Amino acid sequence: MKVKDIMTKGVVTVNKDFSIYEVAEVIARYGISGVAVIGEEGSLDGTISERDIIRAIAEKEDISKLCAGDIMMPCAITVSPEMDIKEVLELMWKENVHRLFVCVDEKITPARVGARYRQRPVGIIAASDLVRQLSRG
Amino acid sequence: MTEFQNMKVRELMTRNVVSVQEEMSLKEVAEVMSYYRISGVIVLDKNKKPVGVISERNIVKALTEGANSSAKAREIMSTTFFTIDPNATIRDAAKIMKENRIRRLLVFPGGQGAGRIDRIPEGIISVKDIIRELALARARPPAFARKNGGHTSFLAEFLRTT
Repeated sequence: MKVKDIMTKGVVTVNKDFSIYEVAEVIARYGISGVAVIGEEGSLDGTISERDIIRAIAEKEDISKLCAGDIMMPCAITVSPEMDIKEVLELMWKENVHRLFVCVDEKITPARVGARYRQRPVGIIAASDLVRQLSRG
Repeated sequence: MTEFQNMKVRELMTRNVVSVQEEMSLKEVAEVMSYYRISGVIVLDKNKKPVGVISERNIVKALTEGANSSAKAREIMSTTFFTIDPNATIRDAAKIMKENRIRRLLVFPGGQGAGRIDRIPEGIISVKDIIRELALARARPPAFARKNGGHTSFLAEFLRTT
């Protein structure tokens, strides 16, 4: 079985200037465990998981002024839609994460620089997707 | 420290803790977790005594190691309990979660980190509970209003005085 068979299509995103409260509200409202932080051009700049918010609450004296850019993880572990689920399980276990962003490489051609590639997020595969899949047998 | 970080665990823990029997299969445990949309359960033995916990992470590990969906709950659970006192603050809970890289704590009087438990916990507090409360934190009435019965009485007071 491949990632694309059980991933959640679409990614919930926030901007860097969202406050920590707004990020929490997005996560709670959509019932998800993490969001993508999107920069200009729609590329994946970072991710915020529940764990990142917990870290901020634990470490910072005052969380009221924090925004998404302060608490995000600047790099995300990404997988391709064609990856096998077995590899995904191993990656999740080894990296101690609960979700991986599913990205495709997309060619962008800015006016003068020439062709570049960016990772465009198309979905998420979370531990809960794997648990649900298992419960269906 | 913000008022939110000073809130007590007791105020936002989930009181009904979902449990499974140690003889249940991996598939049944997955069904329970998907049905209740939760990320972890406690495992009880025949005498209803807690013997372990199973989280999504235990399931990922079991599947990585090639476990069959008929594997028993007992074989995949972890036997370490992380506990916290109901009167501890959210910040204390967040610290324990961060340091041990875990997502939920069992709420027990006197609990403070890894420990043994011998009865059903008073409640459970997970990262989800904390984040849901953080989302509401901005909209929460101040502490003096909460003590008199929370949002409703605050609203009633507001309506009465305007």
